[in-house]
Amino acid sequence: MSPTEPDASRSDAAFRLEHPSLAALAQGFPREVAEAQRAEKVVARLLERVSPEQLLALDRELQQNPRTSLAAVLTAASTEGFWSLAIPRGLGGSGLSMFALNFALEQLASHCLGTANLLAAHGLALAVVGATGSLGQGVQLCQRIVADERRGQAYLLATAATEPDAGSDVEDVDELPKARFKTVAKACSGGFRLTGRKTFISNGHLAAQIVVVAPLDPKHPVETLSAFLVSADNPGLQISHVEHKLGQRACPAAEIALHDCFVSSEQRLGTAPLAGRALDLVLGASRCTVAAFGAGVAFGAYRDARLAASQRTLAGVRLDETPFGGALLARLYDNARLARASWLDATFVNAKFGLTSLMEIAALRQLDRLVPTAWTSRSLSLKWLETPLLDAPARRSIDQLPTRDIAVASAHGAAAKIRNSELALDSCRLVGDLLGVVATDEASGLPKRLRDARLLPIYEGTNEINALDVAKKTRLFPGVPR
Amino acid sequence: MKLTPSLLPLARDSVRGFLQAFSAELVSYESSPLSSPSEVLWNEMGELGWCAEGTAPGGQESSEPDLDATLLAVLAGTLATSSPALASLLLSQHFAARLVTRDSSPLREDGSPAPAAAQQSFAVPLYSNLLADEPELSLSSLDQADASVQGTVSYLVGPPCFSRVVAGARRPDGERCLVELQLAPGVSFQRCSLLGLWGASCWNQQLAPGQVTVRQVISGVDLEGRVQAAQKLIAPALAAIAEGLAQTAVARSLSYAELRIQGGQPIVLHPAVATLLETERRAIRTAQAARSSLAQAGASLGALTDALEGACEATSAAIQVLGGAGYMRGADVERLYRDAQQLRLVLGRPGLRS
Repeated sequence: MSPTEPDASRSDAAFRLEHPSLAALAQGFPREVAEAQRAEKVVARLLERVSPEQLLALDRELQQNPRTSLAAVLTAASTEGFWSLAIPRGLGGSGLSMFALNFALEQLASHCLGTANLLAAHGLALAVVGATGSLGQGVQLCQRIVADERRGQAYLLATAATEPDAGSDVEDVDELPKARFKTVAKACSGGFRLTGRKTFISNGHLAAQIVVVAPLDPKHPVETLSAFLVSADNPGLQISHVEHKLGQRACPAAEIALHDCFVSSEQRLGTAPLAGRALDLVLGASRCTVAAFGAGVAFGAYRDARLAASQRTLAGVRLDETPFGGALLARLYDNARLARASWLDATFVNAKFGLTSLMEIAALRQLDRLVPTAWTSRSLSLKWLETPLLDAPARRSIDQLPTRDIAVASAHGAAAKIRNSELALDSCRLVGDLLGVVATDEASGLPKRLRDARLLPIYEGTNEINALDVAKKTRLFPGVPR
Repeated sequence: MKLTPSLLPLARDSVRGFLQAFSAELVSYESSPLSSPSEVLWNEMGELGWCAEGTAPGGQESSEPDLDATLLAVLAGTLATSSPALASLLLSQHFAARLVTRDSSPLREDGSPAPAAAQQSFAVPLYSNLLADEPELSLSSLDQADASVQGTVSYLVGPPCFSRVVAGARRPDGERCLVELQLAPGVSFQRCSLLGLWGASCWNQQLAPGQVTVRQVISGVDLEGRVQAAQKLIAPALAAIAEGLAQTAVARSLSYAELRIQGGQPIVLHPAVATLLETERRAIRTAQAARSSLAQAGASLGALTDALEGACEATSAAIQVLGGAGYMRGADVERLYRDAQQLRLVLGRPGLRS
């Protein structure tokens, strides 16, 4: 039920407008819950191949050398079919919902947030492709991802938006006119030439293709901001360096330099401006995933604290049986519960009103439900889906989304991300309160979780920028004075 | 040595000269997880009289520490602006020296000028594990000459060159005690924490026979009182380190926020950034107040908890001001954040401290 749907009775409409998550939940989600259970099993099998202890050891190696090979993790994810979890069955994927995927990422983040981000950052690029209505490009990418996955390889994507002098302002249409872009895409015969630098690109040096965001005219970024699919082997693209990060080292961040980097017209994702609706749709969805990460941290902190407290004593009493320990464990559990509720709320709202709602109504998703699983390998020959002719109706679907719906989805994603990043850090702090100096022991994995969690309030726009976004978007909500 | 008004600038000048002389080493010292202070640097600290001498002449507890808690706070606070890890190491030596008697002091055993401090340093847990219900070490005999220990020592703070350990133990008759141990040559311990204060290494080791000898068994005295006195000696200095961390956080945040343009203006002018900066400044004020109150007789360690929490908030706010840049090594604020988090727990569980 859309907030703008005209035929709802007045009282129902008011209730649904005020409580969009309940409106979404009212329909019931039995299929999604079954998918979540399936996704959880994939994560469990992945962690059998690469154990949390191995991930901890890998983190130490990455601390010394951020270019340390991640082949073990990438291969395990391929073997278990992680990359294609949310790809439609018609294209050879598992066709799981965003909810199921976020649940899988939450579960993985409870063990290693960096690894969860390694797997999720790839999805951000796909979200940009989807939000620009580039269905043909999306189909080709999905097919390539599935094909490589079946060979036990990872066909990774990355997104390059941040620049040395332009960060969170790139993501906000109101801030964009003042953003200090240095990267520019100049039109030329047959395509565009990209020049500039991009920083903090998750998986940048691992990706086969990078979605580069740049304006055609830096003086008019709102009107000309565009996204381009750039192959990693493009001679005009160079990996400048890979950052030494505080945490989430399993998801390395790279800087790229673009020197007169030619991309064909077909590699431009959509022709409409990226700023505004498209970016709001992407960030509304991706911030739900960051919120799920936060819940993963909170659940992991609770799980590890519970175990450690059962193995220690305070004044001769088992720590988890003391009032002191019990009170802290209760707060840790409550943090995890609140964080779960927060990302669930935001994800369901996005599935109803945001980017993932397009998946529900798009031809691909409908087709997905009709194609029997046995046909999926043959479906790779569905070349007709790659035609750019489908881009126009896909773009129309995006254009027809009511502005207020997008605002509802975006505000929920941003608010959940803010809350859950704070809950995650609070949980790490509470573990220190409970265990004292033991919580600094590297072998426990607790310091790594703290370092990893500290990135949550920064990426996908800092929490401060997210808060401005929530304030702005909620002004569009019904009942708010204009 | 008691602090007098004339000593205060002298102490600060002394630290600043030291920091200048060793600036290059301190930069590398703070930027590697497996770093350690050179013996030259450590010995220089001994020469300057900063390291502890032991505080209980003739086996009796003394009310006259070698360094006044306030002077120690001045030294540690000034050191912390460049190297919180080194400042923490300094405290660990004073903490240990408060627990042992002078005849087993690591320095100046014969009253001569400070010998090579690097060869005679302590590693000691700074938190209440010293007096845990179930000490990690068990002592084989009450006769010190025949005594040996077995068990594991955990979360010791000390420089990599330490040769002595002070730890909690259980006597054969079940009583708790403290032991001072001498390491056999070539014995190496394992680092257990790489979170923060990289240079002030945190060590774990299961002790095998022959790895240590017992230099001293401390029992029959008010152990809790002695440990509390040692904690109170270093508490103002810990608050001073927290203040140093918050001050550095403000300096780094301001220098970035004044230059970083967003929305057509320096981000220092954005209300959200101003709020973060105020969080950092509040942490300085809290730490300063804590440092003063902790130097008073009968002060509660609750003020220290406030100061350490403030340092965590300030350094976290600094990362937030710098955004992605603050999360990367090299911007310095990620180190401040790690150091604050480590410092927060160095005296044990914050909620049970006071």
